Amino acid sequence: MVGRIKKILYYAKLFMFGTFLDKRSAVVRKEAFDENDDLMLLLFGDYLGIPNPISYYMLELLPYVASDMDAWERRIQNRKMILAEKAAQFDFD
Amino acid sequence: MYRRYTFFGGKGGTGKTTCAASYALSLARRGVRTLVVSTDPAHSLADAIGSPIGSEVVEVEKNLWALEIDAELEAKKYMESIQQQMLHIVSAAIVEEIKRQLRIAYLSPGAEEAAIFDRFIDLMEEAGDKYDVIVFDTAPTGHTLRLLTLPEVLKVWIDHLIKKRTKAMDLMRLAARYEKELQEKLKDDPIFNILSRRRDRFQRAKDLLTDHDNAVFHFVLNAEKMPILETERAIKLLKEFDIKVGSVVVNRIIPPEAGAFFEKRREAQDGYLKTIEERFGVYGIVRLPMLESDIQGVEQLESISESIKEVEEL
Repeated sequence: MVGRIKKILYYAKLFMFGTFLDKRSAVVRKEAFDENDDLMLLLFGDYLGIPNPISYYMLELLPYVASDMDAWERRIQNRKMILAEKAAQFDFD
Repeated sequence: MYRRYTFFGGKGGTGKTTCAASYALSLARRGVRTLVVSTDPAHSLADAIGSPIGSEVVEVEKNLWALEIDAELEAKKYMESIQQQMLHIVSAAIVEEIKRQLRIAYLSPGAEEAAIFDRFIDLMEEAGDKYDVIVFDTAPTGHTLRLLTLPEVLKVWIDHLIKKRTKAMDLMRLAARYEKELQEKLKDDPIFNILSRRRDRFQRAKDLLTDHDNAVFHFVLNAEKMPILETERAIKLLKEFDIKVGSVVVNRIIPPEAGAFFEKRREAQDGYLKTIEERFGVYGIVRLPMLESDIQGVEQLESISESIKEVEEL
């Protein structure tokens, strides 16, 4: 009996999370990723041809961002529809 | 009074190395533990002292050590330390990719400068118990000024980066509010740590350089037109960045006994000397005569170390 109530509560929690919270945190997360992409541009813009006064000092960050590097470069280079991207961010349904 | 960090700078070919070396010698002879460091990529310190010096500190004689910073080597060391570090963090496939980028950065403009600067700050910070004074023989003006003003400029840039990262991480944490494990992962941000470590380092460098009681910058020039103009510009810039200007050393003054051949040049020099007196008089002027031969080796350096000692007076 107790186990069953627990199970129901668990699913209820998941349901609440999915319906109300997850959506909101997805927006926030998107914003965070955008912010991080901007930061990456400032850190490693020299790979895309933007001069950076301290690219030398930024090298020690490389190990920590390396795994994200490829995806980031693709994202930055494919930013053709920024408006659409922004609009998608605020799709409240 | 000697100062803990003494810099000699000025236009190329005016005798900075000689001045730095002989000043270091005069300090060492007085029992002050002195390290003389060349930051010029085209080193000539070894030639002035007359014994081989490398990228490691060598003892020239009692109380006198010397070092030539090798930019290329420093940059290489830095790259290698990064490679070493990342072996623990990322997978082998990415390591190759990073290596490529490291090689690009290694060849990029500014890398050597930054490498020199790094070593330079290391030296200044570590010096405490090993040496009483570090005498820097710097590269020709433009290069050096960039080196000295680097911390100020970079700090602004890095502050901005930190602000951005903080914002991103705050958002990230906000998004992860209901996910425990992600929260744990976000607690410690290596990128933020590295950036703030850099910023602190720049701040410390700036504090060291602008400490008027401990750091001083002497200019070496000849009684000629160009060096005067360049020195004037350089002094203005140093003032802007709040670095103390010490004395102005006028090198290679033609003595009266030089003879008829030099008479005309001597007259011209007198004019320039007057200009120097007018423009830089407030800093204190040290005059060094032109000698019969080039200065090389410790014995000859000794011959001018008495006169160069005057830079301490102001």
